[in-house]
Amino acid sequence: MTMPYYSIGEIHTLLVSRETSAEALCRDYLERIEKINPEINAYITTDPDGALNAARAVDRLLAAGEDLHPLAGVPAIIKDNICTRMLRTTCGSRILGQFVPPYSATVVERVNAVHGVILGKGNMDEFGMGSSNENSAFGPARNPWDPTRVTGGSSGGPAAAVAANIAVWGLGSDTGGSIRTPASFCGVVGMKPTYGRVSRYGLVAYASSLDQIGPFAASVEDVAIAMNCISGYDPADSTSARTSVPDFCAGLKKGVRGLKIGLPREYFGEGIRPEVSAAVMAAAAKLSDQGAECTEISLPHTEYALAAYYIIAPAEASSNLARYDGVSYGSRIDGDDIIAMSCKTRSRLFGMEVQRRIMLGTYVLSSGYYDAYYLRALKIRRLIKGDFDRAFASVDAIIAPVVPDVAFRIGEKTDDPLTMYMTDVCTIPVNMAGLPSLAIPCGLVDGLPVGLQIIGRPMAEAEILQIGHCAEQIIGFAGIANKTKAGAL
Amino acid sequence: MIDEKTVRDVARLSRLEVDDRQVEVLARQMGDIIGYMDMLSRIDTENVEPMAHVVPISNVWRPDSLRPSMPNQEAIRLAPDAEGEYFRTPKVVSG
Repeated sequence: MTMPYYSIGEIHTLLVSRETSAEALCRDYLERIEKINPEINAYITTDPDGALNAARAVDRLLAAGEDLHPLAGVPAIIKDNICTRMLRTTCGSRILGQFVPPYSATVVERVNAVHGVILGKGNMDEFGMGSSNENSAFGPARNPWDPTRVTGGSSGGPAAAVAANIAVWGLGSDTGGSIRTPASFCGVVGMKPTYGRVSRYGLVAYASSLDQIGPFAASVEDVAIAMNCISGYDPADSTSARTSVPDFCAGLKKGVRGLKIGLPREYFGEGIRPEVSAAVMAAAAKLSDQGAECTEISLPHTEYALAAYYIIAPAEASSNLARYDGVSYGSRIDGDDIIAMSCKTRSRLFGMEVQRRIMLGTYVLSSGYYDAYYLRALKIRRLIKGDFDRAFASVDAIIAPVVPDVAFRIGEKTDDPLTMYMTDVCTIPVNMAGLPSLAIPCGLVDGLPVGLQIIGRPMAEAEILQIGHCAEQIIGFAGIANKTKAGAL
Repeated sequence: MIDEKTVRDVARLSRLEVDDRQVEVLARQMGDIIGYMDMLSRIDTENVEPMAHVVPISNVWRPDSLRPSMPNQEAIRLAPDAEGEYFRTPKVVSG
């Protein structure tokens, strides 16, 4: 069965005009999942009953003549570290393999409130720790463009599901690139909002000062629609921002005339594959043709971001993951006393990357090393933020590659953690500074998608969506995408 | 440089069990990673304030009022082992 890559707007029109029902659409997607998911492994858990119930509710609203929210009846995938009440939420881990949350994350409540249809839970690197989705206890998600390749991580499932059209949109989370990297590798659009823009209540914590939930979709407009639904202050998340939320769709078509765009030289040099740089530069040139003013800028502390991140994130993780002790929830392996039980539970049910990061975090926080590593990393973080602050005094947005290369082969980097960490070199600084960034596809290299990211000032999601929408129209990636994806599946 | 003793110490602090083969692998991998991080010592951070968080939030208060909480049975349902309304664990205090 083939299924057009419907946009959210197209589905809304189909439903409102009664050309199809939400239930029929939901059944079509569930059928596609059964056929395609065994190869792509985008879903850890599917929820046919919950999805069909939500879809039928939409059909009842339609029958009653109610107005529908644009996301009503639109099938979605939720990353499996976002809690869904009474629907298993594994975080890609064996330790939460049987965890059925007693409450839903605020973002899930928001999706439910507008009658979105949640098809299931998306594959991910365990606790968000990974750049390829290979650290999932449920096996790697596979790239729909070439199933021998990784999807990118950690939100590989939602990205692959949107790319393979087994979900129309999705939610992921991004701590050091976990939305943007898989969006780039899978040729879809993904946004990491400003830290605080979207509530993290109900997101299983990895590194709390860096984690942020954001959407995936096939187009910038669809991402903007999803942002409208999930953004806003939440008293349940004390770090959520009390900033008003604009309509992210309102300015999409305003174009880029007069906008100043910075191209940071540190993101186009050594370590970045030349073809990737060229694709991003070509897109920037096209934006110049549309009236944007592109200038080279410098973010001089970029080279230190990766090292500082891999101190700060594991440090926070070592603390956050201390709660998995086999006592109050999650799975347990028995032991003679409570410490033996806890040690056995953690060492047998956490994967190796999670254990490595807990140990790294414990090491950099331990007495004698705290100043040399953790404290120094926090100082570097301020320098990185300062780089961006200075840049944004003279430019409105920054364009850079998302990942230094296209999707690599499954297994290619699993033996060497440090090489795997390098995948995140272009995405990490954005999390360190808490900024919004939009990843969009900008071309193909070796027949695989290349992404660019548009980084904005804090709370300037509307501006980067506007630039992204313009870039998307002039790059015309959607045309290429539909052709190539059909070949891969 | 991370030696095997350090790995064992850190594992103990982290409540993780590591076998001899893992200790060897982890010592090498963590050594590589920490070695890479030593690049940070190249930069002068003497007069830089550490930044733990990008948003300058201090105390966030809520009204100190009663409100419904998760029912006890809901919380106990999630426990790997429970008795009545209590979590059950192996012995905590020796002797």
